[in-house]
Amino acid sequence: MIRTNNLRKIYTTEEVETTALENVHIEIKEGEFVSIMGPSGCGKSTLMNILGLLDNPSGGEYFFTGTDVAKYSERQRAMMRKENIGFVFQSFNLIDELTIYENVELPLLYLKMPVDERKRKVKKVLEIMEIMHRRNHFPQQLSGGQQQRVAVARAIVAEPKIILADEPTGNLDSSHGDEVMKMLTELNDGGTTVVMVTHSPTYAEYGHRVIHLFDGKVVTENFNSKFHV
Amino acid sequence: MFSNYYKIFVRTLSRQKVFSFINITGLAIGITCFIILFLFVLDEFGYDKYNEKAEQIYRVILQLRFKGEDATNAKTAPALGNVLKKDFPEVISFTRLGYFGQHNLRYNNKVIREGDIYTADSNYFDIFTLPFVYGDSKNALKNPNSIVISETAAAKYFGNENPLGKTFTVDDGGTYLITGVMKDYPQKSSFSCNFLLSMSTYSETANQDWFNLGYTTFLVLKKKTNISEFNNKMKNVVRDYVWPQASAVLGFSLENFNKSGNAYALKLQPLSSIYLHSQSDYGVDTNSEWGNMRLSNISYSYIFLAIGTFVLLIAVFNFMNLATAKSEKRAREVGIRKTLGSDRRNLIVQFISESIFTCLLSVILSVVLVQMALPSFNDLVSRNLSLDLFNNFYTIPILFLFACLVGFISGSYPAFYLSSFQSSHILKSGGSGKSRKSRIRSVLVITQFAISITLIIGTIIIKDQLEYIQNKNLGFNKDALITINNGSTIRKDTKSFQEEISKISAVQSSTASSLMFTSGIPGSGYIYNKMSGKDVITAQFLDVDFNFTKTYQIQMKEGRYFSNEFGSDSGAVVINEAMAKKFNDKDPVGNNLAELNSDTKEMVPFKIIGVVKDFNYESLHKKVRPLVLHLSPVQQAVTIITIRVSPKNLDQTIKSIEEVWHKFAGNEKMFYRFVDENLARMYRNEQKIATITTVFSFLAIIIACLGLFGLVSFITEQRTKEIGVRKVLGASVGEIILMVSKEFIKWVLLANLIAWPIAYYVMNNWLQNFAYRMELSWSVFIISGIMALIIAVATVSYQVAKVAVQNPVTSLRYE
Repeated sequence: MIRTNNLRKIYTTEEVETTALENVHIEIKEGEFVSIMGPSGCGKSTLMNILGLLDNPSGGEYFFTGTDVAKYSERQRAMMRKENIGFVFQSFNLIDELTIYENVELPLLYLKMPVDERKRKVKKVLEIMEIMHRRNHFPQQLSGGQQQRVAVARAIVAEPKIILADEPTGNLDSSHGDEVMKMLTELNDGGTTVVMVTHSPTYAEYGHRVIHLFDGKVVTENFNSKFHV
Repeated sequence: MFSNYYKIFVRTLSRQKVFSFINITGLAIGITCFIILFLFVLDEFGYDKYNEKAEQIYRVILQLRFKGEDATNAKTAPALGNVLKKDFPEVISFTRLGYFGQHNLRYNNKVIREGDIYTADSNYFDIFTLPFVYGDSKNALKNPNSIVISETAAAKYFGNENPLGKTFTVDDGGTYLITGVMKDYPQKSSFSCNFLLSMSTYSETANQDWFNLGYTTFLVLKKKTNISEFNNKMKNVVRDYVWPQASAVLGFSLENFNKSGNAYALKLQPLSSIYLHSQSDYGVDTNSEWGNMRLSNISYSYIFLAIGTFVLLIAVFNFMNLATAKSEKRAREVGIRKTLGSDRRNLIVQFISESIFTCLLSVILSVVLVQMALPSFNDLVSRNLSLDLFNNFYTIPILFLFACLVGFISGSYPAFYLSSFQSSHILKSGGSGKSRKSRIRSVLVITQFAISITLIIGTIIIKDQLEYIQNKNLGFNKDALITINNGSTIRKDTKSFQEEISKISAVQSSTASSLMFTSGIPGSGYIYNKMSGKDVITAQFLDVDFNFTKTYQIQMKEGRYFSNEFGSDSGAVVINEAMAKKFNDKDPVGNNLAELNSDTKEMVPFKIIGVVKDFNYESLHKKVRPLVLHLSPVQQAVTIITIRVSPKNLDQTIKSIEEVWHKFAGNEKMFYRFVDENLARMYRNEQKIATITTVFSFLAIIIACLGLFGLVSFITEQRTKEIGVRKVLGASVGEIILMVSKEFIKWVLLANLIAWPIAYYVMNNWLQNFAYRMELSWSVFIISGIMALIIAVATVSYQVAKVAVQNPVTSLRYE
């Protein structure tokens, strides 16, 4: 599903050049649940941005479903994103001016899906996430856990091949955190590939394997014994 | 998708009330200004188009260059029309307009002195589209002493009766037969009058007279006539008809005349250009136009259009500025939308449609504002403008397109700016990742202030110049001078009237003269110390009496003024300094001046007995032109009596004068004016501009401040944390205000540097319209700059102070 070769990302400002990623090789297979860990500033988010096609790498190759997308234009990336990738963020990133229903509907609008199908899908996903009764509320009226459920709902509504979750539990208490992890696991069980960045070793354990990043390099890859066959 | 944009738009609007208010109202005021000024300019362009043949009608003008001085006359000789019709196959028909002065018209017991009786050829109504209420327009002006009157005039004399076939008794005997009642001239006609008398009433108009430049000649030309070719061919008319007559009197040939760099050229001017372009493009001397002409200048249209566009621009810039300033707030949305699969184009479409929505709201609001403001604006400029929403099929679609256009323009920069945010940045940091300082934003604010400052400077200079004119030494004392305009009513008794009013204690002196302070002061050709020659001097002349200089308080420079004590003064003239300068003679007093008598075509000699100091007898747009004062008997049809009175108890004085008036004039009203008012009337156009620029500059500044206010509030909001930290570290409120204001002060100073040369150039050009103009002083520029600075600093300080006085803990908790 995902393969990178010598992936590099260098940020240049007027004065300094910072290497955020250096020679990163990773491979993620379809149906996998991968956790990424590492201290602040190690390049986790940079990696996620590149994997999520929000940003282009400075060098190296990036194969997404077999295609090299490393040099894709903003437009091509946007096309690829909306059809294949769902995002879940630490800070939920819901649009305050839109209701829960409208937030979840948004990816389908960009896919130009017909109205009936759209309604059906949004309804279904809201029911799965048990937030149907909240559909006409605005994000600010919901608790953090509920907001993250909306975010997950939005991430999966278009039935993406892969979900990228950037510290999805970071802003939640433990009970809500557990709930989100449960949802991700269920999605993965259903066949969706999940890549998750986390600081929590406990939640990292939910993954089939954990990739450790340090100073922009992959240092270790641990396979979770639970899943290792 | 659009419904999604629309939802976001409406919800953002209601959530950010102050912002929305500034945005929509500011834009609405800008659009209102633009619409109003646009309506005004549009109105300026429709003149004389009511004529069905408007496209084919031309006026013949006479361009004269003599001794390096150019003068273009709107009037031509009576014989011209016939010759052009005869010799030029392009001419379908011609018609002339003439004027023979004021007349008393009597019907039953009603006697009214009418100043706007013009004479017209019998085919006048074939050429000008003036429908008749009564009578037959084809034949109405055929016979001598036939008169066509307007509906207004008909109502004045005859009420609801049909006046056809009735007669006016004229002055002391003759009669005019009413042969037609025409509809009033449309409001958008450059010429209008209430009485048109048949040209055949005056038999002399049929003469081959090339000297009497007293008629406007209109031609109807075949379509697609080549005008420059036609103009060129008219040289033959000068050679074959004008010059034989001229050389017989003046004694020199056309070749000699042209060789010395002089020119005498007939030119065509399209009817549709008369109202706006006579002065600017054809150089027609305003003083040669009929007193009833309604004229404007194209440059005013440009000025107003420029002001309207500027005010609109300021409002649009506000919109752009505020939209980019609040971009931090929208950044997250941009990021989310991008991760969810929106590409840049989607976002650009979204933001531009939001801005079009806003503009539509502003346009709707501005339509209301326009309707509210138009009545007062109409009063201000004496117009009848209206924004016709439903009767004109195009109005609403045009307004809609206008909203889309303004929305597109004002939304495009924010759209490109916002959509360029990197989603990976925004979602991590919550900010756009762009620097707080936006170069375009500062360019926009600088431009706004440059425009505002230019407008302030313009306003001050226009006011100063008008004041300058009003206080300029005119060479006579204009205060407490009353002019009776219908003085010729008592022509025979003028002397007795003057003697009688001199008994009123407040009356200091009085004089009867021909008309002054108006366009159309007549001129003539003079030759100095000879009876013939090619060094003719053109000069205006006034008919005056013994008390003229005494009443006006005009100073003598040399020689003496006319006096009773010298019996020979009827053969004498007094000239002004400007005339004396033409002679190249240190002491012209005692020498001869020959004048061409246009009736007899002979030169008549006069003796120069004195030189008066120059005084302004025309508008100050013109330098004092050479002038010859003739002692009455008054030659001119129009006569005024000017009375110098004591400035106290003016009402009582006027009442006493009126009593005497009625002894001589019977029931006829005394039409009087104060000379200073009369002079002020000559600057109506300038007054109009002054008021309009003042009002709109004021609005421009308000809109600019509104924008600045919004911008600063966003900037301080963004810097709240910084302000808190600085306060914790010991900064005072004043220091913080200075810190934030510094940038704006820099901008305003820069705006001054841009505005000054522009304002200097534009205003200097405008001042060229005046022969007498104030010196442009640097203080005006500096004062305007300081004013703008104060306004900007006050706006900024108010906003910043609000944040700066807060407890720093509050500002720090903000994040």
